[in-house]
Amino acid sequence: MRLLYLLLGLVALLSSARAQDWTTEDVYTRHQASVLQVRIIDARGGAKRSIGSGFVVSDDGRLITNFHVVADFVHHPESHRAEWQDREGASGPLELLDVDVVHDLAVMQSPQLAGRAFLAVEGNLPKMGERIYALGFPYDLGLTIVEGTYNGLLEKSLYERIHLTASINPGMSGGPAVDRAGNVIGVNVASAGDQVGFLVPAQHVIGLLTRDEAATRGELMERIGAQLRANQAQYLIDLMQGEFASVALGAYRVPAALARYISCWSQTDQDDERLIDQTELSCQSEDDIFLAGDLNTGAIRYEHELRQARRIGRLRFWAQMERDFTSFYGELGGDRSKVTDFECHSDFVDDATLKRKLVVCARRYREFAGLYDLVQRQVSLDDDGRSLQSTLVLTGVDREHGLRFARRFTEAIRLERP
Amino acid sequence: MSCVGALELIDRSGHVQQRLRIERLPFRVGRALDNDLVIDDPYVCAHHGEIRAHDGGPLWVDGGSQNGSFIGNQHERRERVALTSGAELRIGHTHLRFRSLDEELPAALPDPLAGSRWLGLDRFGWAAGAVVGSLLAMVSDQVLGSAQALRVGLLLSAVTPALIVLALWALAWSLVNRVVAHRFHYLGHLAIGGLGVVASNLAESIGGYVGFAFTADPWLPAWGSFSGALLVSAVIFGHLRLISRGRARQLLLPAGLVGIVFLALTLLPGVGDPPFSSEPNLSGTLKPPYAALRRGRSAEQYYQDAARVFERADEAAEATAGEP
Repeated sequence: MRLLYLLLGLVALLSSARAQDWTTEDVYTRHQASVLQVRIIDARGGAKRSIGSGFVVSDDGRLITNFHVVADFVHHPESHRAEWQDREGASGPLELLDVDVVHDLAVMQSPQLAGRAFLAVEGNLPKMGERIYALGFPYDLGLTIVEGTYNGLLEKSLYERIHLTASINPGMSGGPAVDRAGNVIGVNVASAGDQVGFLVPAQHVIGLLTRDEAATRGELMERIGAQLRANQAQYLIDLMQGEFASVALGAYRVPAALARYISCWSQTDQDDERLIDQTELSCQSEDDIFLAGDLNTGAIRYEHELRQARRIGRLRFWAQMERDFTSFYGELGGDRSKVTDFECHSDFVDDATLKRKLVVCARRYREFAGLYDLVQRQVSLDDDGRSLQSTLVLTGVDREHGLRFARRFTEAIRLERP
Repeated sequence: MSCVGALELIDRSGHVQQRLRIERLPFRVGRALDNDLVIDDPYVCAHHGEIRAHDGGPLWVDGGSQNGSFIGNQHERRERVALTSGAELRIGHTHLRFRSLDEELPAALPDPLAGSRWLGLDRFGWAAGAVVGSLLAMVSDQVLGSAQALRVGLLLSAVTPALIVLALWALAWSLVNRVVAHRFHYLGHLAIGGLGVVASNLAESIGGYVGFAFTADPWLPAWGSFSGALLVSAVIFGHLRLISRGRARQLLLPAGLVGIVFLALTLLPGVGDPPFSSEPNLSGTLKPPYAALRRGRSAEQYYQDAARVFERADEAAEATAGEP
């Protein structure tokens, strides 16, 4: 494995030394055989279930693509198969070797790809504004090349992403983005539309290729679970270092943007007819991890809703609060085969400044022991004319870190001036 | 001769259709108008027979009729029948019963309902009170549930359907009452239905406040099922009681059965269980702070307890691990 890494590095060095400033035609001509379409075929229906792109990275026929392209094959290998197809129409089967679910990468292999031209992977990042070429098969249209500019790593992202100003379209996921020397600097992964595209930095590809591959499916799933657990532990520990950043909301202090990748929005109801004064502050991490078609994980989200009775009786006010308290907005996704139902615990919690009702709910990922989604909601009970309701949603966390973070979050909500 | 008794004309269902005192003997019976008892039955002869005085008491003597005379439902034709009190006679398709003047009558049955308050339900006051009470309950539900400024018209239009349902419910029971017991009692049934509405709202409010005060939210569905079953039984019992005015014990069974069915429908696994949801079920109570009677736990204790939800989620994941 280390040999391969060295080999890749060498190739990278050689190619960057050899070829300066490839043109678009050069990139297309020299890489057309190495960029392939990846198809996940529904075994029963015999037709494609999902398509994406991929590229050959080694002489022994290894191919890199996105995890989300092959997710169905990972979760249900019994009812799917994976295939590659090149721009001429030649095709062959693909075998899954390993995944990096956190960075949305998968490495696959096909004996028929052995000996095919392969791409060099460059671990260093380009310079700002450098010309980048993204390749792939958008909308199943055949091999396409898109020219764009490198705009650095996303600042507000929990998971490292390169911002590429180019049109990355569906179907190009998993395709390579190469620099002027023709070396892979990232993997197409997502788009925000309007020429805003995102890449997984190539260093994660190198990381994935230099690891021992998983032998069995059980091992692979174990590895995915371990990646998710390690990832959440890391960012939750980072978030819990030092004091929580907080802002005043009415008489209370509440956690605000806890990290650069968490972005907050707020709004106040301006309707003159309103019976209840209402201000909302909602924060969430900008991105998450794709786990399955309807299940994303590794995200953090919280919101505070401050309400004050304005022209409404107290009983009526609390009837409204009860209704809001029991409704939950924001699909968490997943179905019975992926997650359990939520289990909840509810009680009053008193601390020095505040009495509150607190509910904690958790559900487990069936395929990954020790991994849960946690939802926590609390409402202040210090004044019958106002209520602060705070909801925290952590997806894909373990019990220890999830509970520790939830408790820190609760303790960070305080009554500042009674 | 003075009165010897009475002759009763019985209809098919055994009820007395006509009762005639026998003032003198002989007492003649037949289809002709010169009889003492005229029977409009084409199978009865013009002068079918008569009751005569006899040593042992009154005696029925058939006057040689074409279709004959019979005792009760027997098939043996009789020329003469000694009439004791309660003796039944059949001529043509007509049933007659002789009642002797000296027949001993059993004492009057004690009436469990005499002076009972059940009859009071018929009174206008009860019905009006129950309707106003249920109207208030529905309106307060609407008021509490609405986040908009109140408009009387909107409120009334919101509760009108429920009031109509209540009125129809009472009407349906009154009609059943009319058919079964020949009494209508609309106001009584209206009072029972209205009280049911008021009681169910009260039960819900009490459950909500107690559940909140003592953080007993998980018990609320069970409280809802049990109090609901009890109320349904009570309402059914009330309606039945008003219809039958019979013994309470006999009515307990059907009313109880309805309650049990209600309970089963809400409690049986699979029937009341919500389907899988990808959202947490935060359905809990929230009342004004002064209603939070229990002291809260410290954050430390709370999160120790909350760790149980992870264990329960693990159990759920393992319990159904083999399922697709």
